[in-house]
Amino acid sequence: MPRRSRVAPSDDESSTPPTSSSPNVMNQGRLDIWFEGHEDRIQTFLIEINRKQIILPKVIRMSRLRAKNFGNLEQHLKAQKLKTFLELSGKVYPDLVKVFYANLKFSNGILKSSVKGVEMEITRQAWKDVAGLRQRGVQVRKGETSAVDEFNKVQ
Amino acid sequence: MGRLRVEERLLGMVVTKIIMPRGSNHATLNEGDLVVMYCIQNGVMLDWTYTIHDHMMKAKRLTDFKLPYVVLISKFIEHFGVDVEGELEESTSLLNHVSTLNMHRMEFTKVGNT
Repeated sequence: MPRRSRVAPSDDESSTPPTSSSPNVMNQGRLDIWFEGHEDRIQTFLIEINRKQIILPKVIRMSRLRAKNFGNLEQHLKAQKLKTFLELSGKVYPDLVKVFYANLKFSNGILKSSVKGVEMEITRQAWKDVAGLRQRGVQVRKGETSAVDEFNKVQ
Repeated sequence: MGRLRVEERLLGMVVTKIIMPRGSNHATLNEGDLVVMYCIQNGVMLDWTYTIHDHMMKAKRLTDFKLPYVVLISKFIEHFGVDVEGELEESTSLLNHVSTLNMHRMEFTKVGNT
């Protein structure tokens, strides 16, 4: 299997990996390896996930913030323990990321997925080891701002 | 005064491009973005794992959503020892850096205000 490398374009917000652009060119053998032959998961992948685009990743360097006189912002982000997460960079595997999404489930407060037969439970420890994130603090998501009293007063 | 505006715009970019990316070219801020920005600026500690997993599940569920966190998930894939040999592989480059991409444009705005 040839290994392909591609530098993502700068002005395009998302990229579609060439191998997974069309379900028709999907090699059944690779699908079997990715999903360990689970036909239902392969269907989920082909119908729901495969045609979605992947968002081109962005990175920010804390040291550059400081150098550019944004030290205040740097301190705020560091206080939130976001440094490691924001600086994540390096190799990415677009196809396997889609496999991860196809198998992704959220149950009992833990994200679970599996890729090529490897079960992945994103536990508290995994969040910390990989992204430096702690599972504590106020839980905020879109449309659910009640947890932050002050913000609602400002509004 | 000008400095604060620039810094807020930069924070807005960090939130809409990295923390809760939607993959659209418009850097419009929605309510969720504003809450997160408020909390960062005012030292309200947030549980980011909650924000991220919620955004992930939404991206999976909703038809129009693109898939976020490709680097984070790739790190998880390596962390759990998945065999990546022979798989399609890309690399983040300097082009992906928020700072190098946009900082000069923002500073240009600042100079204009002085």
